[in-house]
Amino acid sequence: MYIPDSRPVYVQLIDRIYTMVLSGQYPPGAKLPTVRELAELMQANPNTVQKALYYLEEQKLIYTQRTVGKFITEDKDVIERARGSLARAYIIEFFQKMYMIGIDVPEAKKMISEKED
Amino acid sequence: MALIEYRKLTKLYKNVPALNGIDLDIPAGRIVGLLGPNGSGKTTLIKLTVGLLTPTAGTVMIDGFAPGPQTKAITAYLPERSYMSEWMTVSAFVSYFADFYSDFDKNKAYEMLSRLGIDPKRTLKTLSKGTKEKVQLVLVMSRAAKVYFLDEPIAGVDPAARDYILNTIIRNYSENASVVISTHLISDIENVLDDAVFLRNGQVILADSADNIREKSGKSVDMLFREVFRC
Repeated sequence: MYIPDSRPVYVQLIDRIYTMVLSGQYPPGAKLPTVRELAELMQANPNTVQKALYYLEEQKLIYTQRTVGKFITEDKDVIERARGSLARAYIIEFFQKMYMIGIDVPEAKKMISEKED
Repeated sequence: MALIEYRKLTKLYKNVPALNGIDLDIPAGRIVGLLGPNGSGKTTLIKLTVGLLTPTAGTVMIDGFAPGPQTKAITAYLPERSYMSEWMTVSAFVSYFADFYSDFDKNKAYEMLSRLGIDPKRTLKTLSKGTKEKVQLVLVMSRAAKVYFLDEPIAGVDPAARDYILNTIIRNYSENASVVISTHLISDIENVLDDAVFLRNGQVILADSADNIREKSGKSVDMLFREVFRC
């Protein structure tokens, strides 16, 4: 079953760019492709990509060097904080999905620890 | 002033309204989805804009002009049906367009044709339906127009070509130009859209940015469309 993502596209793009950074595809200090290149890469509207980049710049994950382009921050704290908050969001999403199929949080935690053994 | 302005635009076909008082602004630099079920007036709206039909009442203005020679020079139009002569070769069409439109870029056309694996020496007659559609799209997208109207550009082509077409639209994006795409295959294009316009029975029932629609309704544009137009 295919469930389309109903969140605004710029929110989805923010997630994807975070993932690209946290997975090391764009390491700290790396230059980001141009808006147009990113739009093509992500098959999204250039204005929407711009909106996502604007948000990420506000979050200090990326910065603009005038006339050169956009770069990933070299500040490890910013990146680690992003990793932490994204991880928490995924955990919450996981527990919500488990709850929807009738497994509460303690039960889900128990299943995870059993799987680890 | 918006790049394209519709005011109370109405079109009757023998007293049957195809469009009924359209008021709509399309600013420059937007990629707009013109969405609606069959018979909702999408093609009529496009034909009125490109000057193939004349309105029964109301106006359409493109960059400050009513449809005419000035607007045709800045408007690139992909019709829903093919208008190409079967006996002509692809390269003859490229020359034809280059003669017709001063904003046509021949190199760009040949580059796109080769990316799509289309031999310019072939006649139209020998090409499949999907390949003909690709040729027409290449001709339209090789222009540096201010307004692009694409009537069902992705309906007849394979998924790989669909991706290529969408990428071509993205790559061509300019702050000064607008692209209007009519389709009912919404999920394929909705990530590329700035705005969505829903048409029903010749009226605009929704015109908003794609992100606003998602934020307000909590649904994708495609999901909302299916809900609004449920049969």
